[in-house]
Amino acid sequence: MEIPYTVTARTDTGLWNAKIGIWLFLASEVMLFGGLFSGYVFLRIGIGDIDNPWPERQLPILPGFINTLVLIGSSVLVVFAWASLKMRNYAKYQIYMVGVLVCALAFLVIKSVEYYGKFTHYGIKLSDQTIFEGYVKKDNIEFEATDLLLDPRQTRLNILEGLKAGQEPLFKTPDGEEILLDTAWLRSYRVEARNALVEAQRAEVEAAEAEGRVANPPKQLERLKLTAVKPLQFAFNPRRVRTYADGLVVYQDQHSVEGTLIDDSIVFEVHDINLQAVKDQENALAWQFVDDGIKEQFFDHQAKVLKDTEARGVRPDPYELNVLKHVHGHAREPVSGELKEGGGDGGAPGVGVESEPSEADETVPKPETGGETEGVSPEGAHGKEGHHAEESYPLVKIPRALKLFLSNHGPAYNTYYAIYFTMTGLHGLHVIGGALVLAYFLLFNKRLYQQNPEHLANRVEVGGLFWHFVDLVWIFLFPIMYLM
Amino acid sequence: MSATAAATDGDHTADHAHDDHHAISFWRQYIFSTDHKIIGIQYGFTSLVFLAIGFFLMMLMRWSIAFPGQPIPLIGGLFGETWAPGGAMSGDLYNMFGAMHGTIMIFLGVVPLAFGAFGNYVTPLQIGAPDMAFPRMNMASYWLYFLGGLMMFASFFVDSGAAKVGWTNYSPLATTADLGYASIFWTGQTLWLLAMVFLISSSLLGAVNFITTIINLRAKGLTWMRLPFFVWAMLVTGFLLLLAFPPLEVAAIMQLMDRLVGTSFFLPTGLYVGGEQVDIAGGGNPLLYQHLFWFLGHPEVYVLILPAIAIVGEIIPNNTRKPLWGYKSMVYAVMVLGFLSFIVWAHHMYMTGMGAGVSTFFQTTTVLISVPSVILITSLIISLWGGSIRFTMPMLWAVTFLPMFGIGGLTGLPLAFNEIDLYLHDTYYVIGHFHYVVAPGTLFAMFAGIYFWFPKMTGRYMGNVLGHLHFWPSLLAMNGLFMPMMIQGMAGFHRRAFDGGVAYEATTEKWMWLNHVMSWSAWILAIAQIPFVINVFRSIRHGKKCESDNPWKATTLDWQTPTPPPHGNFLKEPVVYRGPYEYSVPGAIDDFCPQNASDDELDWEGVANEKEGKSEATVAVS
Repeated sequence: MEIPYTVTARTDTGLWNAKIGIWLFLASEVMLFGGLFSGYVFLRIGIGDIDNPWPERQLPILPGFINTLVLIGSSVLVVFAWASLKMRNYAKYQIYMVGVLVCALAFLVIKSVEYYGKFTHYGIKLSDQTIFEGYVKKDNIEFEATDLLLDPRQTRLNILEGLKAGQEPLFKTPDGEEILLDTAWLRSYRVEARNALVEAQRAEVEAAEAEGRVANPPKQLERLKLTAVKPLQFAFNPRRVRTYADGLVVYQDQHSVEGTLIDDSIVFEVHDINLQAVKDQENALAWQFVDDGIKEQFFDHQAKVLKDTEARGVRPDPYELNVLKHVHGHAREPVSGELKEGGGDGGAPGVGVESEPSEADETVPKPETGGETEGVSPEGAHGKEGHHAEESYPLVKIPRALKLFLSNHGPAYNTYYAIYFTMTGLHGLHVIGGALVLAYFLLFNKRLYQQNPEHLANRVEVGGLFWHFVDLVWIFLFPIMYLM
Repeated sequence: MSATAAATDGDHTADHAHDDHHAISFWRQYIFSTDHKIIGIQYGFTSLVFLAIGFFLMMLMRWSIAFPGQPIPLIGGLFGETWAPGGAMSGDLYNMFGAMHGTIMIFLGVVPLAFGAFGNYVTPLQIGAPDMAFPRMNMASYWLYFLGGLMMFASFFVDSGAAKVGWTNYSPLATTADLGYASIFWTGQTLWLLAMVFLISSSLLGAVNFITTIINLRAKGLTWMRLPFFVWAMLVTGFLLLLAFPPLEVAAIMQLMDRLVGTSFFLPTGLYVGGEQVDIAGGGNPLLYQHLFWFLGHPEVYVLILPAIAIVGEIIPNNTRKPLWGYKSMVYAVMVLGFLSFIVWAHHMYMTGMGAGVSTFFQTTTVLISVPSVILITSLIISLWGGSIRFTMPMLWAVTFLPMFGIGGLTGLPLAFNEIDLYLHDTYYVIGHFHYVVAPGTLFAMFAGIYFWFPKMTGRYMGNVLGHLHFWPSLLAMNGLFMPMMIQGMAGFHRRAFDGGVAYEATTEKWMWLNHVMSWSAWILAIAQIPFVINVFRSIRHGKKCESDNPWKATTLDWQTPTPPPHGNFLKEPVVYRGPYEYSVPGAIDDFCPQNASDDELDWEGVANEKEGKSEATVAVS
C-alpha cells in the first residue's frame, strides 16, 4: 500500500497531507511567537522601575517600514508564483519566485545594516544612572605585572592573552630557574606538584600514625608564585577579569598577577546624554565629564521641549525631554593616552599623547593636549563611518569605579534590546529558512513539475503559507518594536 | 531511493514502481528506516535504555538518602574525588543526579516510550494506514530525539558535570550556575538547554505527523466515533505536544541568551551571586521563566498519562470481552482534559506570590480538570463490571494501573488547593503524588502495552512465569517506594535534601526509618526488572508461538494484519464496518467482531434471513 493523499485531497477532509501538516506547524509557530510576544508584554509591564525605563522609539522607522513593504510584496509575489503554477505557466512562476527571493534578500540586507548599527553603538551607565551613548574608544585594564600567581589546578593559561604584544612571558620560578610560561610547562608542573602533594599527604598520615595524633594532611595544591624577569605590560579585557584591585588582577581562569595598576579608565566618545533616570539632573555625574557648554545645551533643550509641548497642550515625552542628542562640545578634561580602535591592546607603551580621535580636526580646533604627535593625522587609524565633519563629540575618560554598566546596543543592553534581537533574530532565521525552501523548489523541482505539476503547486502553496506567516509575524513586530 | 521515499514523493509513475521490489539495505531497513514500526521499536529501545539510566541515577540518590555520607558500595570510586569525596555522594552530585533523573525520565524515557514508541507502532495500524503521513519526518523526529538524548547524556562528562538545578531549571539559579568555567558553552547547564531544543524539535515533528496521519489516513469507513480510544488519546496528546512545547522552546532560547549573550530576560535588577553583583543590565523577571516552563510543564503531565490510559483502554475491553463502557464520554472527556490542561499551569507556582486572584483562578481550573480525569478512570473501572475477565499478563498490569493511578490522582487533589499547597509544596508528598501517577501509573500501563503488542511485533508471546516474577515484586516495591513518601511529606520532609533529612533530625527523626524502606524498595524494584529484560530478549526467539495473527482475539485493525506487519502494513486496503470494541455482540458466534469484518463475513446465530435485523443492531452499537 502506498501513502494516500500526498497530492490529491481526501474527499471528506478536503485536504492533502502536507496542507494539514503546514497548518499544524503554523499553529505551533503561533505558540512559539505567542510565547515571545507574551514575554515582551510581561517584560514591558513588569519593568516598572525608574532605573530601567522601557526604551521607546529607539529604532529608525524608515528601514523598518521599507522592510514591511518588502515582505508584503514578497507575500504577494509568492501567491502569483503559486497561481502561475496552477495555470501551468512555469516561466512566469520562475520570474515571480525570483522576485520573492530578491525580496527576502533585500529584507535580510536591510536588517543586517540595522543590526550592525546597533552592535557598534555603545552606552555606558554611570553610578547615578547617567547614560552616555556613543562609542567606546578604550576599555581595558592596563597593568604592570611583576609576579604571577599560578593556580596549578587549572589546565588553561588564558591570562596570557592580556599580554601586550612584543613581550615574552619570561618568569623565574621560586627555585631561581628561568622559564618561558606556556600550557606545556603548566602541565608538567601540575604533574610534579600533584605527585609531591600525594607524597606529602602520605608522609603526614604516616607521621601522624607514628605519633598517635590525628592526621592533618595538606588538602590541595598551593599556588605557585612566579617572578617576572622584567615587568610585563598587560592590557586585560575587563569582561575576562574576575576581580581586580590596585596591586592584583584575578583572571577568569583563576590565575592572577601582582604589580601596579596603570590605568583602568574607559574612554568614551559621547554622542547622546540620557538623564531619564537621574533624580538630580542639575548635579548629574555627566557634568563632571563634559564642559558647561554642553550642560547649557541640555537644559536649553529641555526648556525648548517643555515650551513646545506646553504650546501643543500635551505631556512631554520623557525620552525626548531628558535626552540630548548629538552633543557637540568638549570634555571637561582632555583625554590623553594612546587610543586605538577596539580597545587598544596593541601599541608599544610610551607613545606620545594624542589628540581626541574625532575626525573633525580641520574645522574644529583641537583641545589642548600634549601635542607631541602634532602632524600625525589620526584619520587613518580612527576613521569612523558616518560622522559629519562639523560635529565634534566630547571624548571623556571615565573611572571604571563609576561605571554601572557598559555594553553595545546589543541584546545585553537592556531587556528591550534583548527581546528585540531575540524576536527579530528568530524571525530572520525563519526568513532564511523559508527562502532556502522556496529556492529549493525553484532550482531543483523542474523534473517534479514535468511529472506532476500539481505536486509542485502544492509544495509552493505550503511554502507560501509559511511565507505568509513569516510576513504576519513581522507585521506584529514592526509596530511593537519600532513604533510603540 | 527506497520504496518509502518514493512513496512520499507522491508521484507514482511507472519509473518508480519497480523500486518496491528492491532489496533495502540493512541501514535503510533497520537504522535509518522510514517505516513507522521500525521507528516505533527504535523509540522503544532507546527510551527503555534511558529509563534504565534514569532509574540507576535514582538508586544512587536513594543510597545517599538512606546512608548519607557513607561511600557508595562497589562504584563509589568511579565518580572521582570532586564529586564523591571518599566514594560518598556530595550534595552537588546528588543535585546533578536529581536534575538529570527528572529530565531523563520525563523527556527521554516516558514520553518517547508512550508517544514515540507505542504511538508510532500502533496508531497507523489501528487506523488502517500504510505508514505515517510523513515517513521521512518521522525518521528525523527519532534522530533528533536520539541526538538530544546523546547530548543530555554527554553533559555528564564535561568539566562542570550535568545540569544541577532540578528538571525545572528555574532561573536565575539555572542562568548563573556553572558560570565559573572557562567556556560557558561546555557546561552542563548550557548543554541541557541545547539538548532540550533538539528534543522539542523532535516532538514537534512527531506531533505534526501524528495529527496529520490521524486526520487524513484513516481507512475507509473509519469515522471519528469508530476510532479506537487509543487513537483519540494520541490525537489529543499530539495537540498537547504541538501547542505546549513552543513556549518551553521560548524559555530555553531566552535562558540560552541569558547565559551566552548576557541578556537579562529572567534576571532582575541588582542580582547578587556569591556576594558579587552580576554585571548585567537587569530588568528581567524570574517569574516569566516559570510561566513559560509550566505552560509546557502541565500539559506535559497529560502527555505522560494519556497514552497510558489509552493503552489500558485497549487492553481492558479485550480482556473483559465487553465493549469499553462510556466510549463516547471518554472521547469527550479526553478532549476537555486536553483543553483544560492548558489553563492550569500556575498551580505549580502558588509559592511565587503571584497574587491571590491568579491563584484562585488556577485553583478553580485545577479542580475542574479532575472531572474529565475521573470520567476516564471511572469508565475504565465500570468496564470491568460483569466481565469474564481473562487475567493475561497485559491485563494484570492494566488492572493494577487503575488503583495505582487512582492513588496518584487523588493525592493530587489536596495539592490543587492553594492553602494546603503552601504547606506541602516541595515536600516528599509532592514527589510521592506525581511518582504514583507516572511510575506505577504510566509505567505499569507501558509494561501492559509491551506485553500486549509484543505478539504483534514478533509473533510470539512473552513468557508468563517471568512475567509474574516481574509483576508481583514490581507492584510491592513500587508501593514500598512511594507510599512512605506521602507520610514523610506530610511530616515536612523537604524533597531536595541530599542527606534524607539528617540535617533536620530534631523534626524528621520519627520518620527517618522510612528512608531505608524506600531505598530497599528501590533496589528490589531494580532487581524485579531483570526478569523483564530476560523475558523480552528470550521471547523474541524462544517465546510461545502465537496461534494466529490475532492471538488476543481483538477487534481493532492493528490485529487484522499479518504478524509481524509487513512494509505497508495491510495486504489489502482495510474497510471498516463497525465500532472499535464490538466484543460479545448479541447473536454473533464469535465473541468479537473485527472492525473490518462486514456482517456478511461474520457468523451469526440462527438463519440467514435474520441477518439484516442484526446488522441494524450492530450499527446502533457503533
